[in-house]
Amino acid sequence: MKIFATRLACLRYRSLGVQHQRGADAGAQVLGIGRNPQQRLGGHVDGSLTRLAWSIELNSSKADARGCLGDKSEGRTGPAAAGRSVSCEDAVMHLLLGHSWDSCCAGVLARLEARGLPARIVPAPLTPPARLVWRLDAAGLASRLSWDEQEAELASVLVRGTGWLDPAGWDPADHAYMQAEMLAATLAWLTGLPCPVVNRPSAALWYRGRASLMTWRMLLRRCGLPVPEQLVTNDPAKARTFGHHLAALGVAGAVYTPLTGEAGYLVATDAGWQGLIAVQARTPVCLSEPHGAPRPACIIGGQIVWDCDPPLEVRALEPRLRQLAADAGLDFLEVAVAPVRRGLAVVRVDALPVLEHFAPPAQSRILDALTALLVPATAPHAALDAP
Amino acid sequence: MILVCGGLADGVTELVCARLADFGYRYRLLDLAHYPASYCVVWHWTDAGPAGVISGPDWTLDLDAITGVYVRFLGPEGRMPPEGDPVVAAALQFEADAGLMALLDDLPCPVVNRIGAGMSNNSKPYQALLLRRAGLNVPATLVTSDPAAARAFQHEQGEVIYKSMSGVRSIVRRLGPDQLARLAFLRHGPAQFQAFVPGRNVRVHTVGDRVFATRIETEAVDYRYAHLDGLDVAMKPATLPAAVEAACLRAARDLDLLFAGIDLKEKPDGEYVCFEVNPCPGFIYYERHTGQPISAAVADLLNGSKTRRLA
Repeated sequence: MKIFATRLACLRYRSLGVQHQRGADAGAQVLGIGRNPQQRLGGHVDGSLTRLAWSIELNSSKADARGCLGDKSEGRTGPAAAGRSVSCEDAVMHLLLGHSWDSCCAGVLARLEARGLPARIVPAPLTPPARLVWRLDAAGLASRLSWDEQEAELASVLVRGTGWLDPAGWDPADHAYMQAEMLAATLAWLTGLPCPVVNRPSAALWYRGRASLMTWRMLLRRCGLPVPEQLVTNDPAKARTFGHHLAALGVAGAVYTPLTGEAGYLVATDAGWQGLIAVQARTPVCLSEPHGAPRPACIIGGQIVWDCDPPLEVRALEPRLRQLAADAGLDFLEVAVAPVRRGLAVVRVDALPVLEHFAPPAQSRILDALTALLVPATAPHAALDAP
Repeated sequence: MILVCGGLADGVTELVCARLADFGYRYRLLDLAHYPASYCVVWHWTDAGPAGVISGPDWTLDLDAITGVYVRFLGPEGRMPPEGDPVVAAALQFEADAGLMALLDDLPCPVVNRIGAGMSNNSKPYQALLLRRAGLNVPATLVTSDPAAARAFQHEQGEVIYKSMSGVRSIVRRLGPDQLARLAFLRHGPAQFQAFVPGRNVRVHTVGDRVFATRIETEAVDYRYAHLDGLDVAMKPATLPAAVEAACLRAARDLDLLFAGIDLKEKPDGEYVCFEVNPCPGFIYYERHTGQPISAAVADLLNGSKTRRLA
């Protein structure tokens, strides 16, 4: 079988020799916040008197910096950042939780506006000048969010981000605390919204956003979806044996994919295998069998949009792909299917689909389907506790 | 064979190991303080689940032979000091832990607890929604960045406490005049307020389908830190009303937690209110005060034993 070293935005094969010391990327450190809460206990117990949310003392430089945020940050006040300003008449709106540079948000915003529906891209909905009042008591949940002193009645929400708090002006320790607090509040707020929320997150998804294919394996298997053969090892001889095993089956090399990163590196030369040994001296590595040209697809509600019209054997996977999205509790999911030596396999799953993985006609269909989910006859996954 | 992943310097992990040894349940300790440097792992996934081995200094454990896993990840303070660039070392440690988490998530045996199951603890208000759905009462809770709303909440509820929303641990404190004077800081982001619930703290540990309730007597707002205020703490085994016990088990099951620490309060009128669920409970504190066989239940759960065997 001919193996394509295809470059995808999220799967880059590079020379291992150059990159092997890079290790995990910043995303891993972001994930660290949620992955192991115990990691942070000690320091914050000691410093708890100054770590308690709103009682944090702001030094003057931070206070100054915070004062500037309204001018500098996206989605807070200005039309340039938020796509458009919201007037009093626009109080019922569709909220796109993400960035204006995200083509998914931008494309959906354009479609909603073309229908005359008020919409707004907001990267961090709970940061100033937003005012949140979220109350849970015996009567149920009541939630109110205001921007610019104007209450935002939400018609729908598309979740494309988690609301990253701008670190400018923050002491790093205080920023880490406030970021964790903001993530916690945003998750609860999204969970309880009574309006349709596309990709309403569970805690597991919220705190492990761009999980590796390895993390999806159990769910994929449950849905009857094949996955490439993978090996995790810090034994150089076993890694090399895996390479020989693949070579004997006519597959050249193996793909090294850090579990906390998004890049993939084809290991096919002696220099590459030597580089891998250097990494294995510090951590187990994840090797996968290489695959052929990936065929991306988006699952949007019950609809599946392929990048280009797939052959029948690929289309035959559609019911299982729908099942995958349903079992993951997601309305909007990207997968990539590719040939491996035993047939077809799912080689990528992403809860934050990347529109640029698709050609313009498919992009258009995805955005249309996504927009339809936000202004639906049938709502996406329901709120956990509607008022 | 049971796999214990934790640090020997961690008292909870040490107690689990001791109890397994007491009962003659065979186990292997993967000491996370020395992972991955002191271990060799070979984990192979095809279309089925994982296969392969973990090898320690003087043992090799086949994944197929694992009947249960107890895991308690360590913070940086529990690890060996990093070699070389600390940023690179931390990234590589994350990578090693990610591989182990992926393995534990995919093992077919009971895992106490899987990583994804514990994520709800990073958002207390989110968890409160889940607890309420499981049938537990939760205290009136306000998450707000609006000072006026916080003031109104206090006016309505009378006594109010505040605490962190995230997984970052904080000491629960009463909202007093000093804090009310600083409500303007709420403009930087929302904080969590709760109606103060009078009554007695009750800590519940669910282990599979077993329940251990411990009543805590103290004058402190947050009994975990009573000593900081010079206050005493007394603990006694308690029996929960059947409906509350069932709701605790339902909450743990809904959260996919085989072992959970659930914080309740019993109000003077007998009503129970739930504050949160801890997915990695440090139960040693309660077991030592009361003699409740929590570690024995964990050992039995890991071994697949239904019958409690006391040491």
